[in-house]
Order: sequence, then C-alpha cells, then structure tokens
Amino acid sequence: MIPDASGPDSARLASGSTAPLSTSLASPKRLAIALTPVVGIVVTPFLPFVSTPTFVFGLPAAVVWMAAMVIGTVVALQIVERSYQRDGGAALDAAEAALDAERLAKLPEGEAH
Amino acid sequence: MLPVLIILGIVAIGAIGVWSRTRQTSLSGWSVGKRDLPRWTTWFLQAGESLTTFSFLGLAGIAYGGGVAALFAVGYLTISCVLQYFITPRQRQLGANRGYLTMADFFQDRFGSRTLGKTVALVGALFLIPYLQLQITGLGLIVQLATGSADASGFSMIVASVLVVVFVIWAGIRGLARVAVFKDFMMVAALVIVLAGVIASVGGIPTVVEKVNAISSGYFTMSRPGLDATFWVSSVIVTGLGAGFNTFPHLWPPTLAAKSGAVLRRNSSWIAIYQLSLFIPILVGLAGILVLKQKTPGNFVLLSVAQHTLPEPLIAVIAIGGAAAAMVPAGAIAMGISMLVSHNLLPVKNPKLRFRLNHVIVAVAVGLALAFGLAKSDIAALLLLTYGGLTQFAPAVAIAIGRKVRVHGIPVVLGIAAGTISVAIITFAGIKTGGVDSGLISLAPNLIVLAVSELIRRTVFKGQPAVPSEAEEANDDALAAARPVAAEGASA
Repeated sequence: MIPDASGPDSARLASGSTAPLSTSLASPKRLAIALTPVVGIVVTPFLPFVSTPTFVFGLPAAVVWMAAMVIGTVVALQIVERSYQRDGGAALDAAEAALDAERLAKLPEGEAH
Repeated sequence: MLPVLIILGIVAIGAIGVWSRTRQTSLSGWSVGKRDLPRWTTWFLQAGESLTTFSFLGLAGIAYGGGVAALFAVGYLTISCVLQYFITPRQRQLGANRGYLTMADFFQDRFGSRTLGKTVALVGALFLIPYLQLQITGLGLIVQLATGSADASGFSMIVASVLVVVFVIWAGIRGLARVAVFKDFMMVAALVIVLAGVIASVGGIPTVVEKVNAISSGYFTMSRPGLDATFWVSSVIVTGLGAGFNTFPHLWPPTLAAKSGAVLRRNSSWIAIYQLSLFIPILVGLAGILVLKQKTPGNFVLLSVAQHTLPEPLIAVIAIGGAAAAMVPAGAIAMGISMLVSHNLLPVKNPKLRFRLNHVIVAVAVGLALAFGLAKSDIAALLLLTYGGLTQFAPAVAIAIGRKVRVHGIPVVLGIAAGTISVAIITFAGIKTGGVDSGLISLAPNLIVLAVSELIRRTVFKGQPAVPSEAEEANDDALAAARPVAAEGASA
C-alpha cells in the first residue's frame, strides 16, 4: 500500500534525478510501532476500566487512557522518525531538499510570494 | 458593547489575512505558493482541522449528552496523525514532481483518467458546500449565544463572509496561514479561559467529575444510547481513515505547499499533542450537566457555561476565538471548492481568465453558503454525506500512493460511486445500521465494485496496462525536462 524500497534511491537522488523518491518509511517494524497506540484507541470502550465507571486521581479513567494514547502516539512516531533517519531517511531528506532547491531556482520571479 | 467588540475582533482577523503588500497573481502561487512553506507555517495549516467550530459547539454538546464518548474526536484525530505521517509526504512528493494543485489532479494523474479527476472534483466541491455553510452558521451561532442578539449574529455572518472572501482572494494560502496562527492561539486561550471559569465557579475537575457521577455513572462508560462502543469503533475508524488518507479536498493545499516531506512528517509526529486541548470542551460539557437546564441544545453548551461563569470581556475573547475557528476552515474550504471548479471542472485554458474565474468562484461559494445560513436552509442533511462520502476516496488514495498504479481509473470511479450512493441511501432512507457508521459500511460495496470491475477489465483487456505510460513515475525525468516550472497543475 505504501511504497517500500530503499538503497538505490539515495544514489539516484544524489545524482539529481527527478525520479520519484521511495523510502522504507513504512517498514513492518515501523508500522507496528506506529499502530500500537491506534489499536489502543480503537479498543478503548472494551477496556474494563472504561466499561465500568473508574476514576484515577479524580479523573475518568477513559480520559486518562486517551491522554496516555495521545502521548503514546507522539512517542511512537518519534521512535519511528529516529529509526527512519538512522536507516537512510536523513540522506533521502537531504536529496529531496536539493531537488526542491533546484526546482525553486527555476521558478520565475513574482510567481509566488 | 459586546457585539461591537466581537465585530471588531472579526475585522481584525480579516485584516491579518490581507496583511501583505503583494497580491497573489497566479493560481499556483495562490494555492500552493512556491511549495516552500516552512515548518511552523505548515504546522498551523495542518492543525486547522483539530480546532474548529466543532471543538467549540459540537464537542461540549456531545459530552453534555454522552459523557466520555465525546473522546471519539480525540481518537480519530490522533489516528489521522499516524496515517498522515506515512501518507502526506508521499502525496507532497508526487505533487512537487508532477505539478499538482488539487486532490483531483492527484487522481487524474496517477490513474491517467480525466473522468476520475472530474468525478473527484465534482463530488469534492459538492460535499464541501454544506461544510462551508456549517462554518458560517457556526460563527453566527457563536455570536448569537455570546451577545443574545439575532441581529448581531446575521451581521457578523455577513461581515465574516466578506472578510473571508477578501483575504482568501488577496493572499491565498499565505493569508490563510497567517490567520491560522492567530486562530490557534486564540482558540487555546479561549478554551483555557472557559476551563478557568468552570474551576472558579463550579469547582476543580475532580469535583465536577464526582458531582456528575452522583447524577449518573453512565456518563463515564460509553454506554449512552447512540454513543456506545459500536459508535466509538466505527466512527473512530472511518473518520480516522478519511482524515488520515487526506480525502478532504481543502486539506490538500497545506500538504502540496509544504517545503518538504520531512516537514510534513515531523509535524505529523508531534501534532497529536494538539488533541490534548480537546479535553477542555469535553470537561466543560460535563460541567454543563451541573449548571445548565436539562435539554439545553448541545451546540449551546460551551458558550452557555461560559456565560454562567465568566465576565463579559472574557466572553468577547471566547467569541472571537470561535469566530477565528470558523473563518480559517471557511477560507480553506472556499479555496478547496474554487480550485476544484476552476482548475479541474471548467474547460478554460487561459491562465489569467482561469485565475479570475477562480476568484469569482470563491465569492460564489461563500455567498451560497452565507445565503443558506441566513435563510436557515436545511442543507445540514448533506453534511451527513460529507464525512462518509469523502472517506470513499480512501481506497483510491491507498492505490494511488503506491510506486506503480495497477488499477484502472474507471473501476476506481465505479467504486467511489458505489460507496457514495450507499452512504446516501443509508442516510436518507433511514436504514438502521445498529450504530455502525454509514461511511464504514459503504466501504464494502466500494471495494467489491472496485475489485470486480478491475477483474473484468483485466479479463477483457488482457495484457493492457492499467494506466497510460505518461502516468508512470518512471517517466518523470522526461516530464520534468519538458516542464521547467513544475508548479502549474497537472490538468493545466
């Protein structure tokens, strides 16, 4: 569903090609990490502390759980992003930036502001 | 005094939008700039859908009637951040390489099908009109509730609509971005003020929770009629998919205008934190159970609680925040509609004429929505189709972001048609679905029709490629060479 390839693209982009970027961003490992809080959100109404009135420090457990899922999502995506950067994403980003700079330089003055 | 303050605030919002020495002079510059919007500008545009009139009017109302089930909005918006992290950089990359200006460009180009491009443009523009009306009517309601004056409500709707038309036409996406920054700060300030009022007047959050629990513990278990586990799961999934796959046409300009995929990725990885602010209207809705009369209409809850707990000048701040929350999405939606019509539907080749027509369509779209709002016309039923209907684009987006598109455009058109018709039938025929969202159910006929018609195509036209060669990304080098300025849209 989401493009999944790596390696040759870095070299192709570094050579200045405008061919499509392709990344291993959506690798199974990274998808699994990112989707963990998603599953936690979907199953919320079935959790025992949500299906019965439960309170944590005076707050509804559902509110505390969803706050944890929001923060968990941010943490999960930070892990995914770092993993991606480590596995070659940084080079792809740099190559994409170089291509965009080239494209911007070709835009006529006054095209946009 | 209060109406004057609010109208002045609305005028100030419009002034921020046109605060630019230079007017946009081309359709591409107007809609996506130079595709170089920096991280924070993109952030505020991306966050636009998190804090809207729904946060002000809808969410507190759902909490007032259904308790913690209102958290579903936090759920689907958070899920959409995860999906957007993976999907929007790819959409932006294709847009930059192949010159998209709209969502319809993306479909037309990826599937090599004009029919699909025009279908998406038509369906998208039609579904956005009631969504635009919702923003303008919501603004009027906020002013009416804050001031108690129906005249002030109508007048504020007219003033805000005119200002939206002016700043959108003048500055395009850059103007929208400036107002979006102001809006987010105002919204957060307004929500904090409302919460402070509740704490000062009713008691701390644990006190509110304890008192509501004494009335009924059902507010804390997602068991209220119509707001149960089935509602939660289906609405969280379908709305999360719709927003995550970027199926709303007015959300495409921020994606296409971003400086890079990395900007979109990094923003998406943090932006879920915004959803924490939605806990405030939910808690205010719970406080409403304690301070408001029974059967208060849901949309009235947040501002009614504010009136019970806050002095007049602070009500003005909240109303201006609410007005900004309506004007930013209204501007984005007006841009979305005008781009789809002028760029994808009208057969106009002359770029200058098309740009002028685009401006006319902005004014017509906002004018129509305002007229429906002032006449209190009930096109809200169409809004029921908007979410479920636009989510029917999600399978096509999933196919189109792949490296190679292996499905023909016509099966995709047929699938979208089947899904959208299914949503309409379920909605208007009043078919009981046991609480399952009509958009989720309709993905089934959508996928079945898509799969069967693609299978038939492959059998009948054996060996023929699904998309024409110019739609293949492998040819992008040649395309780029032939198109030195990759900024004017694919269908230009």
